[in-house]
Amino acid sequence: MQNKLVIFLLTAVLLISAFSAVQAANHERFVMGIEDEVSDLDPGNTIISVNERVASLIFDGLVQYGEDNRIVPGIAHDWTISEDGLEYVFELREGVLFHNGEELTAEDVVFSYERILDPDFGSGLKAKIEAVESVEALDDYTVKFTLSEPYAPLILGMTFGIASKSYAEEVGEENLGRNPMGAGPFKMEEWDAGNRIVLSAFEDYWRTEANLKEVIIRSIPESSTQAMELRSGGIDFGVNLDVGQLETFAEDEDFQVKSAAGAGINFAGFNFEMEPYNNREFREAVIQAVPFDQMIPQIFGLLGDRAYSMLPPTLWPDDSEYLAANLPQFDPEAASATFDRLKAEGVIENNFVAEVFVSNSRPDQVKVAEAMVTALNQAGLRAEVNAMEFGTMWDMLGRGEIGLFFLRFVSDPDPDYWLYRFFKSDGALNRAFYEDQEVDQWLDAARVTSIQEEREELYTNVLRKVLTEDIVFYPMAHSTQIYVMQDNVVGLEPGNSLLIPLVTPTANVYKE
Amino acid sequence: MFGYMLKRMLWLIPVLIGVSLILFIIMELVPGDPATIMLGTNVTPEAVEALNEKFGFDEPFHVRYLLMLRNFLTGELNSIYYNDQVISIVGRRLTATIELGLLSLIIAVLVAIPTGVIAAVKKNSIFDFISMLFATIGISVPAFFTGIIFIYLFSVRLRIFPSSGYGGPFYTAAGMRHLILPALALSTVMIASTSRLTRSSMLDVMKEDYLLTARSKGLKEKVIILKHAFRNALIPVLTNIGNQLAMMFGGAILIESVFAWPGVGRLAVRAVEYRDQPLVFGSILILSALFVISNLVIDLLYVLINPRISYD
Repeated sequence: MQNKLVIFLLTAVLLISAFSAVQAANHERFVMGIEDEVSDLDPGNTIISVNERVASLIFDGLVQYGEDNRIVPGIAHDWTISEDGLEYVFELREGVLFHNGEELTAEDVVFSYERILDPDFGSGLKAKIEAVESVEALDDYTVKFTLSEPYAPLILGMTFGIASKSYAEEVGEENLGRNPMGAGPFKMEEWDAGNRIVLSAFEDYWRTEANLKEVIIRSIPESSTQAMELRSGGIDFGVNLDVGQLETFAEDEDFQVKSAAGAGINFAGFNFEMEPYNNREFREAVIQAVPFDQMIPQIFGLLGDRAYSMLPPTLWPDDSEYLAANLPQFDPEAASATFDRLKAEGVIENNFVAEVFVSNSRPDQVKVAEAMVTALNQAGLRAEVNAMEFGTMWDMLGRGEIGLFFLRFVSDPDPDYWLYRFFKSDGALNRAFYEDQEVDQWLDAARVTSIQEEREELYTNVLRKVLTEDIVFYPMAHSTQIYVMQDNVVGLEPGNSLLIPLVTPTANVYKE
Repeated sequence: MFGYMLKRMLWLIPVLIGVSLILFIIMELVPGDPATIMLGTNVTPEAVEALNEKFGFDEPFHVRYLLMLRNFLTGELNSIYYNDQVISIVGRRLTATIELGLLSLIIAVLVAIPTGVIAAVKKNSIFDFISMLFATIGISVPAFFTGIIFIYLFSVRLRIFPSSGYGGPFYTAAGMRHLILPALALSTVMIASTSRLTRSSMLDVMKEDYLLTARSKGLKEKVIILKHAFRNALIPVLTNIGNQLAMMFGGAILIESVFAWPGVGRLAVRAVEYRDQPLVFGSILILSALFVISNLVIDLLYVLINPRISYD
């Protein structure tokens, strides 16, 4: 009896294993593991990075990101900007088809942008094209955007995916997010929510048909699972591996590990409305007490580079030499002397404990915070880490209840996106509650002018002022984007962290 | 019996209303505003206002509660993060959750109960010693760690099973292949606790006088063990299984993470992180209903096992 059971079980296992053709072995099928679940693929509302990355495979915009994040023609083959910077006219390619075979025309562009601009729709993308007053179709292949005021970074907002107007009417606008259909290189085949998305190459894609005939996107949040999926051949590509796992992949010949800077800036920030954080000497001493130069490489490893600017190294202006030399330097004696003096002067109260707030979903930042707290205590300032759930922390930050915080931020490649929101007095993300007229003027001026040299100079001024003079934020590390791939994947290079560049102006990824 | 079932089902209503109210109050108290979290770095006051209006967050407390309850019952409750109806989001994941829970339950029962009975009957034997050693290990090692070990062993090394993901319904080959490892991993803790409980419960029962009577009647040992001892020992075991099953439906979050399993548990965590109130509300309510129903099933099973228990 027992033997029969054993034989039965063994046979069952063998039978099942007979089906076990490894999923990624197919050469035209590309399986990707991403870190989070895709929730909504409406091109008018893709503000969460996983959604954005997948939507970018299905939808194309008027313009696109090319090499080094330069803007290159997309659906629009050409465009002109009026001298006063208030009118943008885009010439569309003829014969660009949506996945349902209909031609993309100016009307679809107008439809896509008017949705985002509609205040009732509540799109998070609206902030990027707020300056647009009206969008109109001059003819089938010409679209004109009229701005209420010049806004130099507007062109980045022209990368938003274009949806089909007639299709949206057919399925219902509110259902676009679950039934995406665009004019991009891949079309949606199957969406098994929370598990996987299957895309297939769109044979009439205007640029060139994708080499990969099928792309499967799987959400695998657990880093160790992603690593094992790579090793078992279940996926071709993984994007969120821990430092320890990355090192073993880097040494393994069966895998390629490619990295690119610019996946976000990790920084510390201070609250200008809370004592003693609003005291410049105190802020300087806090930074001086901590050996960041030594800690960052140890903690971040392959996943980050030491940062001296708020802007990623892939973005202009590059002022990191000046900033590196002029940011507060590690000097524990000076720090502890300052702390002693500030205590004597009553700036730091007797029972004061500096709390470092950090999101518990960012283990590397938590480690930095722990090391920082140790250093501060050694320098004579009582400090502790408060690692909390991000939503709660974000809420407290908004209400100004946090004095010292760690954050990570990533955005599109224009300095305006990285600086305006944080340092403008009424900036949407001014969590430091920092106010400075000069900085406000520089930030506004850099939006209005489109002369590159002028903008570079203005942003250099802003950075020098907020980072070295006023110490609003202290940049710690630039996160690196790391792709781990099977060794037969060709042509996939990390670039803009908000895209997965499978089919781009310069690349068309394939498997050998 | 039918009357009892009906009564229990009716009880479900006040229980779920209570759960929904407590849930709603907790969500109110938790700091963090869905619109701000959702918009992340793209936040502007106008966008926050627009979202709040869209999802009715600017209404007073009781209006929002009743609205949410009504929308949940009519299936019109919309998730903020997923931009889709809560009922269909949860529905798609419910199959995965139930399949995982039930298969691990079946594995656990098939392994744990015979092991526990044999260990009790052959008390202090090698079998007893080894199986209880494994049971202790099983209780001490967290299921997600067992999961990682299984993946390494069966997917990376032996390449028999895929390491993660959902492969389709359990009756398809791909579905079953994907289901086996997470179900095995999830069942380990239950196997461990159930086999230990079966063993001690059997040992207790075997000291009872009526077993002495049965033996003196000259009944065969097999009949004594299976018919007289086992059925009586099963009651506490069943209670334990009921609790564990409920835990499996809602609490398999770590296993779901390790195996990238699209279950309701993971969904609920995600919903909380994004302060997606409608989705938290809907998914937890459905999990609570599952919990209550599985307990009802267990209560009904008591009758089958022990005729002395009656609900009439």
